[in-house]
Amino acid sequence: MSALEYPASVTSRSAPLSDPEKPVTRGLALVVDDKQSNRMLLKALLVKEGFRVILAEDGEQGVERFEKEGADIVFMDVLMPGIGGYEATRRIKSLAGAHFVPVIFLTALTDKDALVKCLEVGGDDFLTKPYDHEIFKAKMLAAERTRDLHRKIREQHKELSVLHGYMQRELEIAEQIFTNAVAAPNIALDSIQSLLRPAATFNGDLLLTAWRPSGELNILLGDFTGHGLTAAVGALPVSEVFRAMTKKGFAASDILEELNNKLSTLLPVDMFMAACFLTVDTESRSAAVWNGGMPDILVVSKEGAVLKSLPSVHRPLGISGSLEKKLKAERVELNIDDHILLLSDGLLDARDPDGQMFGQTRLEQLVQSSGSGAAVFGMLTEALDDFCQDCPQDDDITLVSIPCRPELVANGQEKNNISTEPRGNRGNSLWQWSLELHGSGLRTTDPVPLAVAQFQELQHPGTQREVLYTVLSELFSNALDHGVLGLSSASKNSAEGFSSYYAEREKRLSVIDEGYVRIGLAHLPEGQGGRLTIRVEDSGEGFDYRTVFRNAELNLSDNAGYAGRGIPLLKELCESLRFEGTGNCVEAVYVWG
Amino acid sequence: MSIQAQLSSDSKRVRISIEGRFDFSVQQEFRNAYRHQANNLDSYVVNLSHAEYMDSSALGMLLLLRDHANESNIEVVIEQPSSQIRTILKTAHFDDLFTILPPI
Repeated sequence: MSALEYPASVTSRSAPLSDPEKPVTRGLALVVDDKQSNRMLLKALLVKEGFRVILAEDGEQGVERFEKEGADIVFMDVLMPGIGGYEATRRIKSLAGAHFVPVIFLTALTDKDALVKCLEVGGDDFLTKPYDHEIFKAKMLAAERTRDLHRKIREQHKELSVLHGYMQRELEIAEQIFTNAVAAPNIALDSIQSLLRPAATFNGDLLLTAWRPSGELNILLGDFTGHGLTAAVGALPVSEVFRAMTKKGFAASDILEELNNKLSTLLPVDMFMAACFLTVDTESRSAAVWNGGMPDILVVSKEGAVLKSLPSVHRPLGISGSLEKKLKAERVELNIDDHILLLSDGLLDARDPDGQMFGQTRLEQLVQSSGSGAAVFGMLTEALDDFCQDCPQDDDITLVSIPCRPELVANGQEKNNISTEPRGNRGNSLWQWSLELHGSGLRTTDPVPLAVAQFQELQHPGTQREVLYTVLSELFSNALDHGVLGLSSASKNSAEGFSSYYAEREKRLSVIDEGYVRIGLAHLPEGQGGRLTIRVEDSGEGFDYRTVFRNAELNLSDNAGYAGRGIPLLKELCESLRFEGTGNCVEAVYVWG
Repeated sequence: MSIQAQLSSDSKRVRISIEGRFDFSVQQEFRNAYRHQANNLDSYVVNLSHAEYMDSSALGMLLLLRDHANESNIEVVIEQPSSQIRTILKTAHFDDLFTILPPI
């Protein structure tokens, strides 16, 4: 090994600069030739050109040195003892694998077949000896150019894969958050069968379900233009509008109109959402159905017969321009165990390996042959899988089967929990809320539901709502009745007094034009729940709360003022109850969780 | 070229003919077909007699054309869609928005 020969590995090819005197080398060249004179001549030439050079005397040795030390370029003789240049080249190329290492044959052979074979075995170029030095240099440069291009592409490919990996991960995270925000609040999914098969990470098809305050189930199946992230961005505002308006009990046509307005404003001109909207009421056994730009909605009987086919009656939502046709839903009578079938066009357009589409005819034949409405969903998904096999999917596929079953309607417990937002504890937080009612505002506005709703919006404590309702009602009616209206609680002692109390209350309230009640809520998170401080202040004169409390402690209470103000109840429900000032201000602390 | 734009001899009408798949892959070509046309047109005619397939992004592209045409009060006519494409246009109720010939 000469002083100029350094080991290099196959994987790492940047040559170390071991000799500071020497300029950057062109890399490591391997010369395989059985004649020493040829080797020395070539080596001198290559060193002069800036290469580090390693030598091999025959094919086997050439392969061995390449395997051990690697090379950036190889010069190969053809005729050598042992395996020879062709076989050595085959092996070197195979060892190099995906790395491109140019092999240039230098041979005394001149016949066509021998030269063609140089390239056939994997060689990149050839030169016949004796060769001209200028041509040799030019060929070498050309080979290096190709090699460098290969390396560059490989590097870029690697960078791209890394970037693609990052992007994929980011998409997945975004998709999870997205699904949680859009789909997680869906309800009644035990009864509804659904197949949601997105073509990309993000689904451009959207299934939303929510109960109306009266217990009917609203269902929306939407299909945005295109698929993937661009198609999915519209899903957030749609789910927000759908849930908020469903919760407030708006009619289907109102919700559709609002969705249409919102999407027209938000989406670019060429994007829109085809949609099916259903309100299912299993108590009255009927459904209100609207179809805008989706494939026909099918109503399938218990026995599997197609009872009704509801085509699109309107263009998709989110296309600006006036609504030529009202967004009016059609009422459909249902029997128990009828099934309503919703699907996106991705299902009809799904292709088999021959490029044939699944199609409406096949779908209807399958439904007809199912023999049972309940079996349709399973049968269709199976048929779809058989049909598509592993063909790449062009569009998002969605199939939903909604049975007309009593459990689809919210029962009592569920009705209480009907909520727009993800169910369960939404995490406690620090917040304040206050409301001040003046004069006639006290007659027209009941602040208690507002305050409870506020608490629910922010904390969603579920069943504890009733307790809070009671606490707030007691505090507010004390402030209004005894404070602002100046009614004496003593009069409530007898049944007679009770009714005259309310008559007087009614009278005073009807003419009220001054006075105020302020309600303030301050919430502090605590463990799984929180601590809600409620302050109620009124414009009244207050009362002698010190005496009232002392009497209570001494158990001297036959005092009507005490009982009339519901104080024992409040003390029971709250962690603390404290009056301030003249008694016109009270602070109660309510702990939940 | 799967999309061709042709100006009528009276310079009042541009006929855009689509061949093959009418989907997102021809989006740029489709845009170019109407973007740089003169303003004194009466109508754009989208000829679909040789279009084999159409997806929702093609519907979106038609809406873009409509938007562009509306700015200059130009009519958009869709002519000779295949039966399959007619079904798609009908489902989307695009006959509310475009003149389709023959009528749906």
